[in-house]
Amino acid sequence: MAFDPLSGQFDFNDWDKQQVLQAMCTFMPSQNVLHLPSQLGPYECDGLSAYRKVPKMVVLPETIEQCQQVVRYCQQHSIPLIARGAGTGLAGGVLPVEQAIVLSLAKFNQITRIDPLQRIAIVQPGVRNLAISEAAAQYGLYYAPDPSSQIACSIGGNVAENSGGVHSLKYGLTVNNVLGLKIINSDGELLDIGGGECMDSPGYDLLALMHGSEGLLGIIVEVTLRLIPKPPSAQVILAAFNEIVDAGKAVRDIISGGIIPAGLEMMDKLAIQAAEDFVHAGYPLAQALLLCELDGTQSDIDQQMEKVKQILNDCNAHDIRLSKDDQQRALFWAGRKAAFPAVGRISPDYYCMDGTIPRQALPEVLGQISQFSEHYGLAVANVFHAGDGNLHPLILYDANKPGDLQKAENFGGDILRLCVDMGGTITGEHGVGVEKLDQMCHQFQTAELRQFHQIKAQLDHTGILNPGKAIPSLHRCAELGAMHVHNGQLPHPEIPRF
Amino acid sequence: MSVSPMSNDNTIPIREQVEQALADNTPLSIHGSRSHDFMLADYALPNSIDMTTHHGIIDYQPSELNIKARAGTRVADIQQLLAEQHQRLPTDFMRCAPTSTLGGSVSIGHTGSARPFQGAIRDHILGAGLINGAAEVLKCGGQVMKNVAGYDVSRLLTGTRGTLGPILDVTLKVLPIAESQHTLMFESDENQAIQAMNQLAGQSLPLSACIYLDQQLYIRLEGTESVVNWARQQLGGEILHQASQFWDSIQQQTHAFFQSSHPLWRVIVPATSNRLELENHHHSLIDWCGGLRWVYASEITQSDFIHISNLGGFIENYRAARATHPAELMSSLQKQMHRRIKTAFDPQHIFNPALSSFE
Repeated sequence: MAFDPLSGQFDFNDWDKQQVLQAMCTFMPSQNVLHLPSQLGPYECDGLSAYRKVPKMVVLPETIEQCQQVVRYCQQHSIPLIARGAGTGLAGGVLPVEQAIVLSLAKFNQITRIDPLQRIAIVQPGVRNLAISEAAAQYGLYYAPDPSSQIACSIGGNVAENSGGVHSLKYGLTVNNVLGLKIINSDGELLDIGGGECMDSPGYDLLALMHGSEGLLGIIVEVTLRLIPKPPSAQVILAAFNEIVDAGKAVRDIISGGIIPAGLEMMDKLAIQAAEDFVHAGYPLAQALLLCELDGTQSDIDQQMEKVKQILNDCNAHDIRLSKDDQQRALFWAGRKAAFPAVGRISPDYYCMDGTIPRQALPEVLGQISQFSEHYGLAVANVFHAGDGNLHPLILYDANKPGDLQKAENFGGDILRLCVDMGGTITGEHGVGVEKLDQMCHQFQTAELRQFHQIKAQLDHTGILNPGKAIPSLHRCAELGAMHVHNGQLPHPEIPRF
Repeated sequence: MSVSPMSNDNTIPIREQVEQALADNTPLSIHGSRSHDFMLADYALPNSIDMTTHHGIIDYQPSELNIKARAGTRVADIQQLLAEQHQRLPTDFMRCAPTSTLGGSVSIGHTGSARPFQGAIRDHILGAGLINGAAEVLKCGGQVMKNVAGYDVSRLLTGTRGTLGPILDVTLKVLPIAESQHTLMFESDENQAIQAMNQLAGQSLPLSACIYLDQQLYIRLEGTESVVNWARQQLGGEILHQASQFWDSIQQQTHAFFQSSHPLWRVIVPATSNRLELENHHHSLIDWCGGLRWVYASEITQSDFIHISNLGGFIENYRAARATHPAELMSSLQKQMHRRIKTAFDPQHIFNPALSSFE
């Protein structure tokens, strides 16, 4: 069997490249079928470049019919198929697996229609996130979710990962801003999911199920998005703290004070220094920096900003600055938005984590992370979507140093298990991919994992769609459990081990 | 916040009831307060689980902006608890009876007037507990705002009407109560009103609802004192007094409009669709900025169905006569996908097989 629906394990047979190549070239122009080593390199990984595998073949269909033909062929011949957007994902969600064909949606790059009165956009999945807001700007509208990779990431990938961004606290994740999808299922059939141009659809919420399903349940070929009016003004307040705990309290007090900022971000000392050295945003030296953006009409912002200032003062902020104009606002954000590349300058490699915790657990979690850092002998810079509890610790390591990558991964694994133990989750917005399969075993019990596999088995009974990602096999969790016996309690004890 | 003294955890007996039904191969229906019996009574089964006995707040942390409650908890009780902390439900819940429950609201999935501006109920679900058709207790999602681990089963449960299993608990995002709320009224004809609602929704205004009823367009503003005052000056119109009672009467369907004994239809269309020309149409209320039309019509003809379907929408019989089965509104591929999901959760088809046949 190529795919075991109960365990989620798969084993696909090898296939004859010439034969498959010939078939693919009957579906689409031959230049859209890549098979030479020199062509395949760019598809060996996504943003998680620590894992690489050159695929055997990449196809770039241009029409929905061509996609359907590829899917039908792959199902008939039990060939795994990996749908790929812009390849900016950070969890290895499009890492090629043995015998897989990569189906790139790069040629689906058209905005089909924008309806300003109805405030929707219908787009192909390969359209870049930022391009949608740029096209909608002439109507005073924009698409709200703004992952940091928005200049490059594609909307199909955003749906597959349910991407968030700096403004998701107020405006929601991708799932909250998509009205409908057209997908191709594993049988190669095209179907509509969600309400399309309507705000409701009959039956189960399949639209939610597709979000974050990482290409395991279908291939997205069209997305209908909700657009919202661009706020007339926005202003950022920046506050520096000598104690991280105080910054954490300020976050809590702003939210419980009835204010929902458009963005509420935190950086720790190492991240501040790295960002300052890189973009010279004029950040003050501090143990923690908070950036709080409010948007709306100016009078609205003024009224709420007074409250925010008071809270920041009460929480011992020692340097508070309010952006005077859009240029200064952009400068305040520049450091935060460049935090990842800035950290990349001070370390040969870094490993970016993505746990989410209840906001109140922030001081404790940061304390623990700093202990882990000492234990592993690896520095960590913390960048944090503080408003919605989404942590991005960046673990600094050197891949050329033997054992460093393994240490970084173990350190990351400890952070994610800590997030789960604090009532949070192993991934807030980057997805599971191949990266967090082991931590999924910590977050979910056997019953939930089995339920996930049953959904997959029903919607993709031959298991060809992106196998081995997002949901760990039950055997993997059992084996992992055997390695991490805690207080004599074996995780997933009901699964046979051999 | 501590657990409410009025709480009752019935997980074990509910699970035993499911196990028994599986052993006997006897189908089960699941019900809350029965506030939607007008839609679902046809599908009620003699063997049923009463979820109203499984109730109480499990966790509420105002500073975390979320609340976790058992499915049988009354929506009204949750609203009251939130109001004590100056917080509210994240969007308008349709609440057809004072006894309406949280689990029932999620499994019906009908959102009230704030839908276009504050999202649907499903948008604010962070996690849920479920007993599936293998009598296993599943914990889906969590209590944090962002969570993309595993498939989004908790949101999938919206609109399932108990057919994937009893929902045990739901964690919802909550929001602060806005400082100020005002409702403005404008006299208008129907097509002008639809146009105006959508034009306003495309501007940066603190709108939280737009409805049209009896030649009047009602615009609800919600936000800080300053922004609501600014918007009032921008828009003009007449102030509606006792506005919160008015909006409650829409969400709770106690308004005079909902009291007629004629067949009431729930019509979902693209928001900018003009006045619906239905053959036997005699009175309607437009909600969701035009996206939802409540229509009284003695009968919906084949050409009406085609008209709505050509617009990209659908129409379901809401009250009186036979309720519309969701499968009647789906394409054959959509039905197939529903059947597959149903089988994934409930392979023995023990949970209300008639309501989830999708044939």
